[in-house]
Amino acid sequence: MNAGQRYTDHEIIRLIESGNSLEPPVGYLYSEHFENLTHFIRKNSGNRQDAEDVFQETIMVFVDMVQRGKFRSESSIKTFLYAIARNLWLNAMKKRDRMFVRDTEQLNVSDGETEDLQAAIIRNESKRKVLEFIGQLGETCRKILIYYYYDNFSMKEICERMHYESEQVVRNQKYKCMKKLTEWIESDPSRGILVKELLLYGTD
Amino acid sequence: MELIDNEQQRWEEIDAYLRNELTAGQRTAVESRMGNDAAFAADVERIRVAKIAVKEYARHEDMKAIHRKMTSGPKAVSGRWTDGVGFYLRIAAIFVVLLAAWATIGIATLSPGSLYAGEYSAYSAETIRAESPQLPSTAHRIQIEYLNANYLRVVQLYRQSAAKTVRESFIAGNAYLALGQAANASACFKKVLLSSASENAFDFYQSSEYYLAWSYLRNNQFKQAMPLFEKIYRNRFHLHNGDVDTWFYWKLKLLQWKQG
Repeated sequence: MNAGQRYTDHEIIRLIESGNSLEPPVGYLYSEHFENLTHFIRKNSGNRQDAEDVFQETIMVFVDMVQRGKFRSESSIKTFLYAIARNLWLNAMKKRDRMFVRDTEQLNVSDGETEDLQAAIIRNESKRKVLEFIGQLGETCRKILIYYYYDNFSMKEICERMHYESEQVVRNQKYKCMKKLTEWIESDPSRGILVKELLLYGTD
Repeated sequence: MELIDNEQQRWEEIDAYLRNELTAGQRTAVESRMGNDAAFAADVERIRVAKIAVKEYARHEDMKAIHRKMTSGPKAVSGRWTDGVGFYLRIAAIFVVLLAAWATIGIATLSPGSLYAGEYSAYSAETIRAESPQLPSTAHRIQIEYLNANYLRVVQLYRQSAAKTVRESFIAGNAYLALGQAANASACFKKVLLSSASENAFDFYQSSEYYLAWSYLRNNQFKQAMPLFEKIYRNRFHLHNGDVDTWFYWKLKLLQWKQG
């Protein structure tokens, strides 16, 4: 992110949609909105760590919505982020049996947008369970699968990066990891539904 | 083992298909098999789902990395300069710098002359009028001229006065001080201090100490002025103790330090 680089809401949406590096637009969102949202969380019984967690989650939900074309641009990004953060924090407070949240700002978020963002928050919760399992696959599996499916590296490149003896060893390892992942997904019907939902909205 | 190998080969073929690495003919063959072989189609979907899960995980990790970068350390979030605690720290820093600059300039320019110019205020003529309803004619005229700020006339009348009483000397001393004739003012105030005892007229004694100190300061005689000011500052019963407050006293001490 270029220091001092400013973006309009439209430019941020375009950059996130482009699928290129998320760091410039997301970094800008942090620099512009992190302190304000932190202030909101801390004003409502949260601490700094709560604020960081909520903001991280807020950004993830927002990016997810933009990438799936679910952000309608009816309200400003600032208002929308605030609405997501407020919903996330309300949920967190409910889980903690603490309902003392002061709604000090009238948010100009339409009913449609509110429904979308609440759906996105639920989706994000579900997604987290899938992601947690991938996190438990082990470092080797995670690396191989990410290099192959996310970074689109060839077997040769993965072999070099991970210092394997041959490409065939990488192929075998990748197969084992995928087998483990697919078996986990299929071992629980509800999990299968979750991942199908990811498939429905995800980008292939 | 054979079965696993077959499945692995099949999955590799599906991966190549999903990554668009197949030729047109190979693609057609895969798509045709998807239509005819339910197990194969299920495998394609299985791998597509797993692939998307991996991509989501990787994207999530990217976001976490950005989060760590943006939230680690006070300078990580380069927000508006008015955001958060940093804003107040900057304000405090600016205040400290300005204070230091102001103090440096103040010390550099502090001198007996600057202190006199900044702090001296003339004796109140109203006080004189109130204190002396019945006066001999010369002293009365001197006071009237002082009230009207005719300091030269005050000095002239004082010179002509044969008696040069304590009261006349005190008023003349203030007139000399107002005219910038600090040495003559000092002489008048010293006369008041010496004569007060002999005339048993102590009304102007403490005020003369105070204005003698100012006369010394005006005449750049700081070493003579400082003991008088110090005496007044330390004596809370002194008539002018309230005029030599702590802030003024510290300026004197600073000047004393500066002058070595």
